[in-house]
Amino acid sequence: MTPDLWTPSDELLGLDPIALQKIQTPFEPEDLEAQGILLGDINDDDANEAAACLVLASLDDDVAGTETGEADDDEDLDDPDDGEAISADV
Amino acid sequence: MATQQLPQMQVLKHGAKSEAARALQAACNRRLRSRGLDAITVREDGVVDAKTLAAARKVAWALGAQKATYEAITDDGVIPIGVQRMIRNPGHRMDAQKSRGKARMSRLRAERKEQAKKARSSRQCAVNAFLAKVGTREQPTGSNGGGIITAMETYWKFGRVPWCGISAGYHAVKFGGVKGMCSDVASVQAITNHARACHSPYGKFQESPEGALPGSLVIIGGSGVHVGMLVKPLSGGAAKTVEGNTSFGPGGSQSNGGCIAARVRSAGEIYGVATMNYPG
Repeated sequence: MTPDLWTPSDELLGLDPIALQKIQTPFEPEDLEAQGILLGDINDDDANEAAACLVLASLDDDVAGTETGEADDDEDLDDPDDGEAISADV
Repeated sequence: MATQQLPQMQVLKHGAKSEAARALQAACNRRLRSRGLDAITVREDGVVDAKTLAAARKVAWALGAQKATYEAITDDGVIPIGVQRMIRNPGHRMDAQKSRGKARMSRLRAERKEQAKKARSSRQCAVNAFLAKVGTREQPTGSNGGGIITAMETYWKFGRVPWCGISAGYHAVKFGGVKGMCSDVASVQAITNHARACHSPYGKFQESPEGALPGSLVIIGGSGVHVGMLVKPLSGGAAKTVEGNTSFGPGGSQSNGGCIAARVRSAGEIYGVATMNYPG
């Protein structure tokens, strides 16, 4: 393992005495939202599942394959045409 | 038929508000809905916020944009005119773009079919919520914080510190309903020790991800180095993972890279797996 790519997370945490204390004297999290502190997260399992599937499908972009795909995505309604072609670079 | 007036396309930058941005949001939502992704549509308020950038990236991916193109949307916070044109007028795409789009939609539908086959478990909810944040980066770079990263640290009462364990623990508890997990989840070594000792809610420590369930914690890079969450074990001791504070690929820091990323880890990168007890 290349050292600069794999700096141990625990070593970095150890440089912070307050963080170290929270690790050495562990405690369970409080229900912040019940206290009115909003974390700004998405509490929607349907949305998370859809986004997760998209991430997993895009993970395979790195894998060279010969998939042709059978999904028909050509039925989209276009916005009114602005007369410009889409560059092949996109 | 009446001719509809198009808002003039302009390069859209993070934070700006315009009618062109509103038109793009509306087009993104049409593309998402037509692909069964209604759940991740965005507000059509004309503001180019992080959610709009993320939606544009997802739609550009689905429509067959090149990887460098869709990644630049969230990396740079800019939606170029070419991408807007693709999203608003997908019928004008080149054949190569259409072909990539079809292959990607085929993979997406396969993933959705696979998820639909399984009952939605608490483990899967934890993994999905973590995966949904892929693409998140520290703001500013190197700060160990910003946005949802700071929220996860706040959840465990930490300041801005290395956050791989913090993010994995946050999702296990908040979305997976794991009971009894404590703030020492921030430490990779503490996770390993608890798992070796079979301390609840940790199950056991095993050297390979084989047989481990999604939502287990995967120790990566060696003892005390890095931790992520198991998405799926793969053959040969490899695994699909979702990780906080790593890089999107093998090029950047793997254990302090500042991003939430989905990764495929080889058997050689995996030090071990801490199985976790989820409810249900």
